[in-house]
Amino acid sequence: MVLYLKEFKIKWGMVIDLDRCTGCGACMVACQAENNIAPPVDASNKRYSMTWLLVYQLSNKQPYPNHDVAYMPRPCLQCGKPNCVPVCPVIATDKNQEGGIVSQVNARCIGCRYCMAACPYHARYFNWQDPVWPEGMEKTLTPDVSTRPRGVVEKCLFCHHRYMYARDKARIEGRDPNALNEGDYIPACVEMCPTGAMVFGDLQNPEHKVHKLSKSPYAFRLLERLNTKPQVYYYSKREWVRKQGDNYLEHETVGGV
Amino acid sequence: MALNRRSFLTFAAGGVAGTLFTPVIWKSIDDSAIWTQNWPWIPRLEYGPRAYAATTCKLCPAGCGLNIRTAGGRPVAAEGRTDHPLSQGGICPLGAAAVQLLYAPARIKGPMQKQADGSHQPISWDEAEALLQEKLAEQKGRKDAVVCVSGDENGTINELFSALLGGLGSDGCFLMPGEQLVASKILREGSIGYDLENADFVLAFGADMLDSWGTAVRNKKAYGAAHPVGEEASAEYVYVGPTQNVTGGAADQWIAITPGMEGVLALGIAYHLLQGGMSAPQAHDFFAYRNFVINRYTPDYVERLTGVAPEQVAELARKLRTANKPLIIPGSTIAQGGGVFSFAAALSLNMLFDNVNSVGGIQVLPDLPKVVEGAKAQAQIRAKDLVAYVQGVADGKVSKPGVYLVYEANPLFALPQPDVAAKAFDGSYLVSFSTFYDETAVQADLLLPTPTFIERFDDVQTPYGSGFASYSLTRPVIRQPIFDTKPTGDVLLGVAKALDIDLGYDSFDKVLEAKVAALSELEGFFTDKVQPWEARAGKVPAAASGNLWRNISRGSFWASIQEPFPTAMQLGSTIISQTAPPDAEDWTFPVSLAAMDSRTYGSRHIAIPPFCLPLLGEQEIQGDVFYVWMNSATARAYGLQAEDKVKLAGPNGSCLAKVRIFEGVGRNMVAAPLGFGHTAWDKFSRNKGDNIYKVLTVRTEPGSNLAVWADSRVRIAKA
Ligand code: SF4
Ligand code: SF4
Ligand code: SF4
Repeated sequence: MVLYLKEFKIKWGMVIDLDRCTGCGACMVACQAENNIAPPVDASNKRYSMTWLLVYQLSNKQPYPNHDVAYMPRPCLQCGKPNCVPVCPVIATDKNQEGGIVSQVNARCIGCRYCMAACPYHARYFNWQDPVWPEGMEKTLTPDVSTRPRGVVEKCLFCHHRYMYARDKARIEGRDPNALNEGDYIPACVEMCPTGAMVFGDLQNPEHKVHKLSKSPYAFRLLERLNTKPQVYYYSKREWVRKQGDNYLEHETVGGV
Repeated sequence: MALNRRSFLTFAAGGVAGTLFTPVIWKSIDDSAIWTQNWPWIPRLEYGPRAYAATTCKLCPAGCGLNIRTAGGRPVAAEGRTDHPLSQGGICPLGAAAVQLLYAPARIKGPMQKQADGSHQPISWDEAEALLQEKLAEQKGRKDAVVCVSGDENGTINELFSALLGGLGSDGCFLMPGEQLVASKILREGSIGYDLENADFVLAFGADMLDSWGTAVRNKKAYGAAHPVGEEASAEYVYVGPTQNVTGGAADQWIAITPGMEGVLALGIAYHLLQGGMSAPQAHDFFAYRNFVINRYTPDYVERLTGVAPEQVAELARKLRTANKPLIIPGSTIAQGGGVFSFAAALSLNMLFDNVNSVGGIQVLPDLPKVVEGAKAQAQIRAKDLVAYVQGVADGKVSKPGVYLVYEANPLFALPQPDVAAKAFDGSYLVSFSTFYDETAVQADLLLPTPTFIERFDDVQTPYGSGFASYSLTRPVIRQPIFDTKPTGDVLLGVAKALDIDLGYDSFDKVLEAKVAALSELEGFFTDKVQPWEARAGKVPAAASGNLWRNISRGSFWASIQEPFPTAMQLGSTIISQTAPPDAEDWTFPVSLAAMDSRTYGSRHIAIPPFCLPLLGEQEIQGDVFYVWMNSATARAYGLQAEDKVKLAGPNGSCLAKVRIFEGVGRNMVAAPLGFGHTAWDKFSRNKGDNIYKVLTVRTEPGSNLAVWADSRVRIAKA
């Protein structure tokens, strides 16, 4: 059992600076386009809308004028111990390949949504409706990511196809595909962020920025006490932000400085 | 075995427990999954070689560099260009949705003419152009009988419009309102730029610089560079504005202020600086300014008008003084409708710091040379007040033009009090050059759709807010426009010729080539090695040489940091004192309306794009009802709770919305997003919320006679 608790030499991960994110949503649109997610006519019912990356607004809940906000982009956190994996009856999702990305095989998914129930981060989305592209818009589909039908669960895969391209490129150039340089592989959302709030790289590689940043006292992971060990770290110098990240109770203290 | 998807699911769920370990079930599950998922409406992917085309975005005036990613020649995604100083690899949500907009159902598929029953019927381009020619010929020689409303702030196309109008005897070439209009009241030649990258303390008054103001993506890049992840910040950003909007939320400090009172706070800061002995000997009117500020903008007075505590004002003055390179940015929160007073007051702080044409300060930027004979200078076009004109026509004070030409603009939706615009437009022949079926196009008699910027050549000259003069081109990424559209520049040249007006060119491409050739008159450089802000700080770039057209049409970015002319600066004491806001409360409309703009909601001429809808939060829109925001104290004062329906009523219009309690809104204020409430467009943008432009109210600023509406007021009540 617990086959999925494999350790990986490379762990792709992000550090997202919540003091720098302005909540503009460019990353969300970039993700929609990159991963061929159909445009919704009404996205106001969040339970039925599809977006692999969601930017949440956090508030320090202080009345005016002491109010403060932070924006938290939430992709799939690619947990080290993913709750979503062991519950899948058909092994449509797995954490098995180098890099530690939690995969999702759409063609195998039977839509039972156990993974959605298990994911504490609401990072998985069920295709309630037929994905419809207005006439002609299907021409803008990228050849990199297959479209998914109604009835399957989808999620962010750290733009896995970009990883494959980066590895191919390294091979062609005679480099080791398992020793990519920082910047060889960058997901769409990270690349497009105008403030540079998202940093991407190999958490295990001391040469990569994320390695050091993830060890900062200001870095934290969502609901850390659940021990899911996400590969996405958040970063904030504001204590209230870190506190909300782990659902701390009033009297509890948080890490950081 | 007949299996539809639902029975298959029951079957699978029932079967799992017992049969998980037999290989047969695995095989059949796999097969069935493939079978059940094989729906005809799932588009198959088309493959093809991947490529990138460098171009420039025209969806809003910020002029970002975009890379259009193509697969087999089909545009599939827009990305920010790393080699373009205005994007530096970043992108905004609107730009990111640009490619999909090519196929938005709202696109106008070919020229159309309005029928007696109000519907639009397709006609051929020949017929359409003949009609346009006929309608313009009727007006030829009649003074000011043809009016153009352009939504393109920085394209050379405006020269064509203005020259064509000139040939017809009209002076009515207007831009949709924006900051450049207010700036032009201060600076009659050239435009104002902001050297953000070299500043170490940025104080923005109103200007929502991290979302909807000026060169937004470049601003965010500068902000990001000054706040490196995991390191100490190298510059501090402070935002003064009524709401904790994107800029207010991201800035190091947000100072909440009564809408429209930004200028008062600026002079409140000036009071401390002047008391502390600062001066601006280079300004001729220093003493008048000093007396005016010290006598009037005392801490008590400033607190009463702005709601900002005196200690905070003093602290801001201290921070500015201790900064090495402070930069003060004036603006309105919606980048339109602000008055000269606030603008001039904030700008005057820069002068106290001797910040004009200095590193990290404000810059006077040259306008690029004009290339169309008979066109008005850009400065003259910028200085024309469309809103005041439209009001004049609606009130019958100005005679109604025979023809309106509307280009990449949506005045019947996006002018304050759009019903006034409707009145001014009613009865005239309305020609729309829009790409999309917007509110103005719906009313138009003649539709001459222009291709999107991904399908045409066009240009961007120095976007407002940029710290340097610049030029870049937009170019067709696909060989053939998708629909039967025609570049407006070519339509104008054709019709001018038919009317015997010589504009000097056969095609719009030639106009752009001439523009590029004219750049050699200025000291410019390509930004491949040296960025303009580095050049400003002392790095020496190589002068642009070689075939300019070839370079620029392939995506090179041309920039200049040349100072256009010696500027004798004034602190603006006269205009500041004449335009000072009235010191009175309006009890009929007791609540300040703080309108909000965001690229999530599209831009002045683009409605919310399909791909941006997921960005709207649960408390921004629910179904077709949108939210207005207020803090809990204000809500309590008006007996409102979260989710209550509320009516905002201004002197001229009203809106229905739901209440969102958001503590990042000042006292006795309601914040409301612009860009909702479209009635035209397509199912993605239509009927979502209500149009706040209806509630914005125009008043005339004394002293400048400018139409202003950024400080509108309303009544609110439970609906
Ligand atoms: S693009 Fe960057 S700044 Fe904008 S919401 Fe995403 S992470 Fe935040
Ligand atoms: S965030 Fe959710 S979906 Fe992603 S790996 Fe963790 S548990 Fe699974
Ligand atoms: S990593 Fe890729 S798939 Fe995941 S949120 Fe970012 S853009 Fe979307």
